[in-house]
Amino acid sequence: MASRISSFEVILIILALVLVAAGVFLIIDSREPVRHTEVMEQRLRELRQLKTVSQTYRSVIYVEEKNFWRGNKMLLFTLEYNVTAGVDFSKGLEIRELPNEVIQVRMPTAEIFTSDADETSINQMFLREQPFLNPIRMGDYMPQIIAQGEANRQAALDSGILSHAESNARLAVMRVLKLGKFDNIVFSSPPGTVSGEASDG
Amino acid sequence: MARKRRPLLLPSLLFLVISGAFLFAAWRMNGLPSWQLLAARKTSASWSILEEIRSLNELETAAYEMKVVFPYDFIGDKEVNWIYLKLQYDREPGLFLAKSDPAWHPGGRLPSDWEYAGIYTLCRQVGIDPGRPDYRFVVMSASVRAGVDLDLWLEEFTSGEPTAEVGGISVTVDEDGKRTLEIAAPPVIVTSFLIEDRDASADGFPDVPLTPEGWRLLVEKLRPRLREMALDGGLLISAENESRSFLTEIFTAAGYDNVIFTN
Repeated sequence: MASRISSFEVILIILALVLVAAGVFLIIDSREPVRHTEVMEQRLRELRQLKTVSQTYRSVIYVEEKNFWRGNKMLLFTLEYNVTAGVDFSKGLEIRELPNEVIQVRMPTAEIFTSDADETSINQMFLREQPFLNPIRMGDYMPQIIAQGEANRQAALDSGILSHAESNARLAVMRVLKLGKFDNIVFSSPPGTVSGEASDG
Repeated sequence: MARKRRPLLLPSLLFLVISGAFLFAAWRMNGLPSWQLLAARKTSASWSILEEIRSLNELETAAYEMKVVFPYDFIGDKEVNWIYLKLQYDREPGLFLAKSDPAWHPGGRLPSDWEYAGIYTLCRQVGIDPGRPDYRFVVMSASVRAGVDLDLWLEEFTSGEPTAEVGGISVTVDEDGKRTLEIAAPPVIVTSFLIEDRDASADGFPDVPLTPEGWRLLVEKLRPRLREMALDGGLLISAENESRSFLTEIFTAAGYDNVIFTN
């Protein structure tokens, strides 16, 4: 006796085909190769950076993920950032002897060297995760640490850190030159900036 | 009444189960596409407060930059018996910590199986278990910098008029009129230690499960070792040479013919 296929079986077969198609789609969709390459070896680098100002920021960071499949996670922690600024002499420091024992100094403009999180200051206030299905990963909070570092850099610029750094750098150079018994020191602005002179002695 | 035959029922059910398993495997291996409506929704927020402003005078003259992979860069080329350490640790973590101390063992020396017990403990504390074949690792980019603290150096000269006796400064002029400055060079110190704020998973490395507390612990414990690696790499020697070279350039540009460091 010939048997008929019931509608229930048809639904089962269609459902199975849909699942296979979804699986094939997931595999094909992720087949785009991703390559990351970088060259960086352990190396010793020479610097000439005079750090003259440091600002410490305390930051609070909150991260939350709502995930239907793997469960929710959330995290709150604080940490400190150090923003340092000064003058990079490797970009050109000019010292010239002028008549009458005057020394002319031309320094590069001040810049921010680092806006870096101090990992040892991390204070984890609370954490909720699904240890097996959805644990907290570095990728959950590191982008926010980086973004806050950029925000702190901008805040430091807005607070006038560069002018503070530059005046401290001038003072430092002046004090060093005075060890060599130079008393008349004048500073001139670097090329490309608004002209202005400061002097001592 | 004859029972209705359904020869396709069992194969259909089997097909459905296999298809479900296939979809689940594809999801676990490849993840959900980004447009998926039920995909994760992330929220993040942060704010800062300025706590302190400090003036300083640190001339940084050398940096040792390194990219290290924890734990593998901290065991050298040695074969570590992670499974032995895992068994010991799982048996009694408290006793494991005591046995990680050389003083526990006869002669005050760690047996070869226990040489990397400290690294293994740190791994477990931050949620990595090299005793299991999951091969988790953390990539860190660090920079250790050295140079001179100009404030400390200048303070040596503030106790009086700089002379050969005070601060070791002297200026001599020879018969040709050439001027020589003799001065004590500033001592070189490690000035800063930076761990680059970088999302290693954005560079293609695995996104390792690690809480901020684990990250703090990892950096805190590895810091002395990274510093040691930088010093072994010649950081202080390079910083000293560059500091002296920089000061020589300043004083010669200002008019001295020779600069001699007295230390």
